[in-house]
Amino acid sequence: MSEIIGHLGIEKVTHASCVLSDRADRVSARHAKRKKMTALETPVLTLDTLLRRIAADLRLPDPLRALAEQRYSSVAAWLLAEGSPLATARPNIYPQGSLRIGTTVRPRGCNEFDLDLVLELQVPLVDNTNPLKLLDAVARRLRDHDTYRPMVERKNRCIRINYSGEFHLDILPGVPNPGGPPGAIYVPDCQARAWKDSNPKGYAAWFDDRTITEEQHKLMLAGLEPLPAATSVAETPPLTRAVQLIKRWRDVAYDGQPDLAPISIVLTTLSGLYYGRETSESAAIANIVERTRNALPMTGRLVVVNPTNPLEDLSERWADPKVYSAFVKGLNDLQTRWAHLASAQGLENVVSALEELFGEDVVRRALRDEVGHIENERSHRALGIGVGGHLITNPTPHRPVPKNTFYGDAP
Amino acid sequence: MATLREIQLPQAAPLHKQLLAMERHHPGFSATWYCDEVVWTGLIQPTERAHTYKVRVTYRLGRSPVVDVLEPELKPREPGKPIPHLYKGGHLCLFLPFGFEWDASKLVADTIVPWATLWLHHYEVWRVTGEWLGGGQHPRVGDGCTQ
Repeated sequence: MSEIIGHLGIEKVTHASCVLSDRADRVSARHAKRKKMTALETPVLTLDTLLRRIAADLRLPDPLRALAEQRYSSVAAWLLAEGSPLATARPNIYPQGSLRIGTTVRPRGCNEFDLDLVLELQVPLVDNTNPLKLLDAVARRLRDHDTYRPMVERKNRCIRINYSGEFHLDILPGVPNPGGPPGAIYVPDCQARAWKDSNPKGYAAWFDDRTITEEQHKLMLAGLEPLPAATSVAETPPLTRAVQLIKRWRDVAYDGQPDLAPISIVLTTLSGLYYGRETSESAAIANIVERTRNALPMTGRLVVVNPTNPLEDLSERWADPKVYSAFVKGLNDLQTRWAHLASAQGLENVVSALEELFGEDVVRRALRDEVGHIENERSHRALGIGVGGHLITNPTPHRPVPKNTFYGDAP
Repeated sequence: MATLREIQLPQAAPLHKQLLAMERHHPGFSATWYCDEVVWTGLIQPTERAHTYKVRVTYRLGRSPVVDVLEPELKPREPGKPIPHLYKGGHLCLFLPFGFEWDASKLVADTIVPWATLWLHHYEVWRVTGEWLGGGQHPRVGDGCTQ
C-alpha cells in the first residue's frame, strides 16, 4: 500500500485514514487561503476610502505624537527632580482627551495641535488645598527651568507650554479622589476656585469600549480576543475616524464663531453614545447625526452628561439659548449635507460635497492620495475589475488589468 | 538570428471566443454580431461613486477595437480645450498602437473593457483636478492619435 501511495506522489503514510485526513487538511487549507484572498478584494475610491484618508490627514502625525510623549515625559521628570517642591507629590503626567483616544484634528490655519494632559499630584484633598495655589506652584517650578520659562503660559485652569512650531501641551493639574471609581480625580473648575469631579481615564476607557465594531463584537461573543488597541492609522476604528470628521465639520461650519461652536467633548460623547458598531464611516456619521436629532427634546434643551459621571453636565454651555440654537441649526445642516453626500453621483459632485463639509485642501489631498494608491496597485498588476464592474485591488481569481498606456495628444 | 519562418504573428482569437469571454466576464454588455464584426454595448461605472457611462465597443476581426462613450457626453474642462487621450473621432485612446499592447490574440474582455473602465476613472479625476493622473504617452505627429 505504501509503495502505491508513493507512486501517486502522496507522502508516505502507514494507513489509509491518514491519507484521507491529510487530504482533508490540504483541501481546507486551500479553502482558507481562497477565503483569505477573497477577503482582500477591495473596491477603490469609495466614499469611505476618501473619508478615511481625510481623517488620516487631520490626525496628529505619529512623529509629532512621539515627540509630544518625549516632551511631557521631560516635563514630568523636571517636576519630579531633586529640588522640586512638588517632588513629594509624585507628579505623573498622562494624556487625556483627543490625544488619549486618537481623535486629534489639526486646527485650521497655521495653528498648532492642542494636546491635553493631566498632571496628577498625590496630594490629599483637604480644605485648604486651593486649585489656584497648586496651579501657581506648578507654574513656578516650570519657570525655574530656563527652557520652559519662555514657553509657559497660565490659563484659567491649566498651564500651557508652547512648543512653537510643534504643539501646545495643556496641562491640567489633578489630585486623586480615593473614594471614587478607578481613575477618579479632582480637577480645578472653570474659574479654578473650587475642585470638581473628573475621570479622564474612565472616559477614555468608556470611549475605547464604544469603538468596538460589529465584527469585533462577534469575535468577543465567540470567546476570541478582540483586536489590540489601534496604533497605526490603518487600524483606527471607524468611530474614532467619525469623531475626527465631525470635529472637522464643526471647525469648518463654525469658522469665525468659536463661542457658538459645540465643544469637542460633547461631540465626542454624542458620537460614542449613538455609534451603532458600523464598519462604514459614512454610515456611522449618518446614524450618529440622526440619533442625536431624534434625542433633541421638544421643550428645553438636550443635556449631555459624562457617561462616567452622570452628575456632570458636559453641555452646560447650552444653558445659553443662543449657543444651543446654534448647535441645533448646525446639526440640521449637517444632516442635510450628509444626505446630499450619500446620494451624490459622479466624482465631481462627491468631491464638491466633501469640500463644503471639510474644506478644499484636505479633500484634494485625500483624492490625490487615493488616486496615487490606485496607480501604484495598477503598476504592480494588483488592480482588477470586480463583480459590479468597479475597479478593485487584489482581484480574485487573479485577473489583473493588463499593462496599457493611454495614448493621444496632451490636452 | 531569427528567420522569417520563426517570426510568428499572433493568431487572432476567433470572434466566438471574444463573444464568450465578454458574456462571461461582462454579462451586462449586449452584443450584435454580423460576419466578422461585433458591436458590444454596455454600462461602465468605474468606481462606486462615479457616473455610469454607456459605452460601445466595435471590433472587426484583426483590427484595433474602437471604444466610444455614448452617454453621458464627455465634457472638456474649458470650452475649446481638448479632453486628454481621445482620438479625433472621439474614440478612447487606450493603448499604444502598432501592436505593442494590444493584438488580435488578446481578449477584448480582458483588455479593452478594463482599460475603458480605467480611462473613465481617470477622466473623472481629470475633471476634478485638471490633471490626467493615469500616465500615458503623447504621439509624434503622424502617429494617428491626434486631436
